[in-house]
Amino acid sequence: MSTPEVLLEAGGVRKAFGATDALTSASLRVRAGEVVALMGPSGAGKSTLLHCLAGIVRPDEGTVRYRGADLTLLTDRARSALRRTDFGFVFQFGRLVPELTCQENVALPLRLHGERGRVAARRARETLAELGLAEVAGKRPGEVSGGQGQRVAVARALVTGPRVVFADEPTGALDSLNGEQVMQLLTTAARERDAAVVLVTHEPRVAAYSDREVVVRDGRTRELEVTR
Amino acid sequence: MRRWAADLALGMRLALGGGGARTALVRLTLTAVGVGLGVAVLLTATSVPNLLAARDDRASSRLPALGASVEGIDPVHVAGRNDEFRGRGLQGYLVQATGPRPPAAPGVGRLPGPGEAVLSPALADLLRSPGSELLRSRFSQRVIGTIGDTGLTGPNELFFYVGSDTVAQQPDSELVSRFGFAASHRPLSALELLLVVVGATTCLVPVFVFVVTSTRLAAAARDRRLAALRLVGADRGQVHRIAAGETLLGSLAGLLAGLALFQLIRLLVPGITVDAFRGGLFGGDVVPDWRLGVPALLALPVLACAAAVFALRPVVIEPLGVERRGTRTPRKLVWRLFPAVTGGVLLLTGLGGDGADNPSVTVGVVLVLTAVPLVLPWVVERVAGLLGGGSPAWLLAVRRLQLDSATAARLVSGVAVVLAGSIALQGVYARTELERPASQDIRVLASYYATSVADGEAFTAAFHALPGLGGVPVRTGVMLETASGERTSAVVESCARLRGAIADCRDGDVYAAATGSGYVPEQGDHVWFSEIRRAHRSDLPQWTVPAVHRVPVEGEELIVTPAALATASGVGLTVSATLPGADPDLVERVRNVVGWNGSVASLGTGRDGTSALITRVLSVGSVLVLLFVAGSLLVAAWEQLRERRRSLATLAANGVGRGVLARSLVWQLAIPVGVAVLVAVPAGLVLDWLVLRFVVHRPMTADVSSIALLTATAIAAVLLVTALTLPALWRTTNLENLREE
Repeated sequence: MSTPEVLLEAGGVRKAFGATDALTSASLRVRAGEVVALMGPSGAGKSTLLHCLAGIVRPDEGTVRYRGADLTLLTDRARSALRRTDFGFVFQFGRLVPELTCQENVALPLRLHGERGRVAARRARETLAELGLAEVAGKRPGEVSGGQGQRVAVARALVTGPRVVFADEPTGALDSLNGEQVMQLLTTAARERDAAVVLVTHEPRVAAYSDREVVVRDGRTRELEVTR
Repeated sequence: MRRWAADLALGMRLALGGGGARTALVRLTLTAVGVGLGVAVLLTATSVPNLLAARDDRASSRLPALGASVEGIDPVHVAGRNDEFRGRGLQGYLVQATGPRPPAAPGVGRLPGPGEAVLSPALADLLRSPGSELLRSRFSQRVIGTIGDTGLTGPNELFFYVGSDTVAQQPDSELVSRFGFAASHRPLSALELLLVVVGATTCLVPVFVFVVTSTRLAAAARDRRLAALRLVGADRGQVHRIAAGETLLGSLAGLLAGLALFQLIRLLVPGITVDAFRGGLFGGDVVPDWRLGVPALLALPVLACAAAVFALRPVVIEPLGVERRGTRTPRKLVWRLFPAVTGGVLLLTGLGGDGADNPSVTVGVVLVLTAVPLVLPWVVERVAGLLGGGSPAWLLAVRRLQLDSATAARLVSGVAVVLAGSIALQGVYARTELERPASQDIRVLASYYATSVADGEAFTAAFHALPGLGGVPVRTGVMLETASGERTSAVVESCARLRGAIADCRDGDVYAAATGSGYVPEQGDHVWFSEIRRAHRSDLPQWTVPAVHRVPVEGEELIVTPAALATASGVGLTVSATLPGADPDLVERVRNVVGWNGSVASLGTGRDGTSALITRVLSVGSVLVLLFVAGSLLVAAWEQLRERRRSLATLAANGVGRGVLARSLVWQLAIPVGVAVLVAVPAGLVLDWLVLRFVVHRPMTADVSSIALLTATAIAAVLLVTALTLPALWRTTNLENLREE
């Protein structure tokens, strides 16, 4: 069996916000299909590392490579294109667009990428159906529960067939039952699609869904040996 | 291109929002309302030249065309008549056919014969209405038809064709074979153009300010929405296009609404019966000049979209949210003053030359007016910065304004422009009104064209028989002209009246003042009565002057006794009298005595109707725009409450009373409005002075009552807006708003 491809590779990443160092020297490697949990206390730099890995935040030092290409050297347009095609995102509050229906929210990355409206709508409908969310397709985010909203966000993250899904405290605003459902959905669907998941959480219960855990503390990363 | 279209379409979809997104709909509606009003104002303003041209065309199409005869047409004698009834102008022609094939007059099926009349619909209605008894005796003819639209300048015009068998003898009659000229279109005069441009600017600037403001409403929600789009892969260009698309839908809806509103205006226009419109306007004549209208129409949506994109300038929309570009810097005055300074320079250079005819004056006035909303935010920011603490309500308001005065300043700049423009327009209007004579100063001059001395004496007797006119002096005049074109006027007077001045007066003689200068006829001179048109005269002289005696009389240079004219043929006399008062009923009775063989003119009531019309329309427009601005203030206040609901709820939770919050709202509006008034009133007065002094060439007049009224309206608007905002404030301060999502 061959070793899965290294999708993301960060080395010596440093990021400061004003006088505050968020990351001092973080390194990480993410392979295709694996679920990696970034653990650590509040303010440790987990989210900043995730943002750097996703190309949302440009590190002050170090490199972040996606499939060999240095994200720090890419233009905004190229990084935006990556977010539409290769990356998916699930954040704490879903970040759905309230004006659009759930189906339209799921179709959004496809539409932004230039997919025709009808094709985008069909793929969004299929994705929602696969994730058991067909009944909320026509509803607006404000009309569904928090758990359903997060699952719609998962559907939106997966609809383009991304290679990596970035999830920042995806269960942070949910009760434990809904949190379990969202994590089950996210990790199962990602594994089925051979997508890697980079997951930020401070909850061991959520981290338990990962293949490996990386602890971020004082801006540095440290791999944990875990047995699943 | 397809990507651009898709991005714009997505923006439009976001603008639609839906049931759960009230703010999106409010924004969409406001943008549509603003653009719609702007479109309607622009279309109406660009219709003015065509409207005036159409009126000119209609008026020219019925003018008797002098000149060569037309084959197959029997010419008609035509005499134009201008008449009045209770201050309303009547116009028409007396006509007398010379054969069975008279020329066709526009809108008239058949020219009336003697004892017949064709009337405009409005005149027919007026004759039927109660209170028109005195007018009916002037139109006792049999009405054989009504004048169609093609023969009228407006739907409410009082116009007539009256058939008569004495037109040929009227001194002002013409023999014509055709009606209608190719109209020579009168361009708008400098003052009219200035009024249209200033009025349109006064109405458009607040509308544009409103459109800009509407694109910035609920900015926080928009920023969050756009950040969410960035997160799922929208690049910066796409975000700008989506933001433009959000405004585009409202703009397109506004475009349609504006076209509909313009159609409504065209439908309503014929119903306007205000005097200044002189016969009213046909809706079909209100046609925009598309060379101006189309670019103007396209400009509004484009400007609205550009404003939406421009509103993103101070922020960077990133996937994680919105970042402000650096710290807030104070507003720069330099570029804001640029239009004002440029306008001032243009005004000074233009006024130094040929005044209003110089287009730089118009451009200068517009630049000065548009500078107001640019300078005002700077002034508001500086004033807010200077204000110190006071009561809690005052402190909250001042600190809020110091933090962000842009929205308030932007909105009240609409008030400022309306105030400044209205003050200038009202000043011009007040000056024209001031120069109208008071009704008791209006002189009414009756003139009767007599075809014989006996005819003139009959009129004089009928005139003196009217109540109160018994002793009113009447002058019977005659104009004499020699074959070589020398002319002189004479008065026909009986010896009975001349006894005091000429003791040995003998009926049949002619007397000349001893001090007379110019042409003085001598015995044996052959003359014509020059009020009979040359075309109607025979080559034979109409009168041979009898002996002329030099007498030492004052005033009249030539006096003809009635019997002296006994040998004359086709006498043309003008019997005239000035009425001692302007009692409306008496004037109407005099008109009836004069009939169609003369005219009764009110002297001193003439004024520039077009300017009065434009000024009146714009004054009404200003008040409407002011109300509109008040409405936009209200919407903006509501939206601001929505955006600040958490901080207001926090204040309420910490014990700040609702009264304090309400008063702080009043101050937040009152301070910018106060500054706006302080900026607008001097700006308006300066414009008023410039227009009156250099364009109308009249002394400065400030219409204090109008200024007070407009200022009071602005203050009332603040109070009203605050009052209407209070229910929303009470809801906002509900502690439920402290809950997280």
